[in-house]
Amino acid sequence: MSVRRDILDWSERGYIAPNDVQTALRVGGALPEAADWRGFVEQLLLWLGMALVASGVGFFVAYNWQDLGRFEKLALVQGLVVAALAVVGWKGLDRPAGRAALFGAALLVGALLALVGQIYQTGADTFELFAAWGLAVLPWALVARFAPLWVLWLLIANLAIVLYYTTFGGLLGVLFGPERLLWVLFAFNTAALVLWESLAAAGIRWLSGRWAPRLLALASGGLATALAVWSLLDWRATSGWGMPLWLVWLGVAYLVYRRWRRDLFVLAGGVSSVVIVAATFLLEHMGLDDYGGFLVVALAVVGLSAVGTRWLQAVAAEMDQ
Amino acid sequence: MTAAERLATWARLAAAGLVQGEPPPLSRPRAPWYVRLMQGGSGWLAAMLLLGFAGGMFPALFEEGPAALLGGAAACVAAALTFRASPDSDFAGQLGFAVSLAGQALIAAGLWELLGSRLGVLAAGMAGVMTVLFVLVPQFLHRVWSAWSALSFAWLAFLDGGLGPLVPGLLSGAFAAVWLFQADKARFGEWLRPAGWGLAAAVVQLPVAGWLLWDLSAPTLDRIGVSPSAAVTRAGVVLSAAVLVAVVLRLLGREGIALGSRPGVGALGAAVVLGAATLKAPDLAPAIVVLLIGFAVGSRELTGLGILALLAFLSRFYYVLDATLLEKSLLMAALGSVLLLAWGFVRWAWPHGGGEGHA
Repeated sequence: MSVRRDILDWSERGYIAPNDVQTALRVGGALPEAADWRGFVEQLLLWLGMALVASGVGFFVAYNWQDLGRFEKLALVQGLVVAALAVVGWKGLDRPAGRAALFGAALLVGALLALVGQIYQTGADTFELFAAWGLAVLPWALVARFAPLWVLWLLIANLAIVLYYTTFGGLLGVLFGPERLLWVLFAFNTAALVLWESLAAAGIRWLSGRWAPRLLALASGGLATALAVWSLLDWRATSGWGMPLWLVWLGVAYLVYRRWRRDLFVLAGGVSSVVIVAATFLLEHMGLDDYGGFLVVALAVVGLSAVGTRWLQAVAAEMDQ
Repeated sequence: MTAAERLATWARLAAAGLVQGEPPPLSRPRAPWYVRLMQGGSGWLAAMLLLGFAGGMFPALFEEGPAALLGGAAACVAAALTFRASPDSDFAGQLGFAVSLAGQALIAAGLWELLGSRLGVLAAGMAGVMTVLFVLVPQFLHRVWSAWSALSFAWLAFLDGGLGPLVPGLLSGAFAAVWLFQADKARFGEWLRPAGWGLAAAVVQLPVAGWLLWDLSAPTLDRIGVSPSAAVTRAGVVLSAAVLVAVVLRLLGREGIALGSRPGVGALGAAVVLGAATLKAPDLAPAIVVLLIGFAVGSRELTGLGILALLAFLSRFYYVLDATLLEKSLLMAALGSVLLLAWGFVRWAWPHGGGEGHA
């Protein structure tokens, strides 16, 4: 919980005089100092500026302006990639400007590949664009030691996988059915999560932030939940492994994020997953097919989430100590 | 924040003569935003199941407007009584939330049945209902939900009256006022905190989930009475831009930075440039306002919401129909270049460790 929340709480309960609240927030360190503001403004201008320029180039490519020749278009986008890399060379990868420039260059490579496909009508499938984009920026991600660039790479890879299975789903539906797509995405994101957590635990500092592994855990858990729900709703049409996988995922997530690396965010996601799967199970397999069944399941959802909330609050209090 | 950090904060305040005695225990168990989100999602699921039960057992509830209104009102009153009778029970809290959501859906169905062809009146009516629930139901999560719903229905009512473009500016102004003055009115925290989060959700929802809301409300949109005039549309974006500039002025004042100083000129200049870009990109200024306020009040959650709103703005701007992709690309590239130049200016005008500009 934040310092601000505590100070406002104390004020609400009369421990701090109303006229002193702003001073208390300042003294308690809840408000940013001049140096914090400077850093924030600098980061905001740098990253928003980079994102706007890169997005502007993407929009420009999408417009497919006929008045500009193909060489001019290619020169424009390639020139921007080179300029961004020149900034990386100038500032280095340990400074925010160098990192923002490399991130921008990675985005521009996607625009460049789209432009190549647009000009030369290569006939490539969309997944090939994303796969090529992922391959092109992989070396940069490897050398940059910068978590947001890895998250971008993981996003590109996920899109490539989805587009691959979407493309071949109609042609070879038996082999590449939607369930297979969920399994592949689950395997990919879970492997990335395990690798990320392992390397962070090994002491790699730039991987120590929690937002990226939480995103991966959300993807992994969401996919496991989807597979379990699907197998409950239509077990004949699925492999039947969705529920066992979900149970294993839940057990491992509990052990890892309750015992080894305590993370309330993932535990809250686990509780949500339990509520969803339990509600689906009760509706599908307990013979609750009359209207009264809805009431029973509603009460079960309320009960499970209430117990889950109490447990999460207890874990939070334990982590506060 | 750990117990040790809480004690350290208390000690700093005590040393400054702002508090006395021992630190008090927590008023109630705290839950981070994602636990609240889990509670809210479960409440929604339970509410849908309760509606299935009510609709199956008592079909008249969905077929006759007065019955739906009566049933919905009874459910909401029951929920309010449950919250008040057992304020510390997690089960009662979750049950009350689900029952209240089901009741709200019934009231909306009843009003729809009675006023179906008058979307503005229906939306204004629901905004009123949600405002009453905000006052009557003393639970944080429910108040956040009520505030957000009331504001969303009010947005629909404005849309029906041809005043939709004014909503982002009005919402971001109210959001900024509530968050910036919350500390001065701490005794109203029970109301202001959930209202602040409801306002934040309402401001951010258009760029983040605007497409979803659009799809959901599309079937009703042919009922919208008046299309906004060009003057109202222009007034709306000017209002959003003005709110951004006003927020920057207020923050400069709070931080004691003189307007004529280099940081003051830079900050105001950046606000004016972003405000001017908002004339073509309406979601930009409200997203920046959320980000700025989030940082200014020291809330990581709100700052994260602002970043999310900015990312959503970038992706949603692609689909805005008021300009061609070429115009949009030129606007973005030009604005991005100006911001990068401003970044260089900041590094020059406001060096690390420099205190220039502070009064």
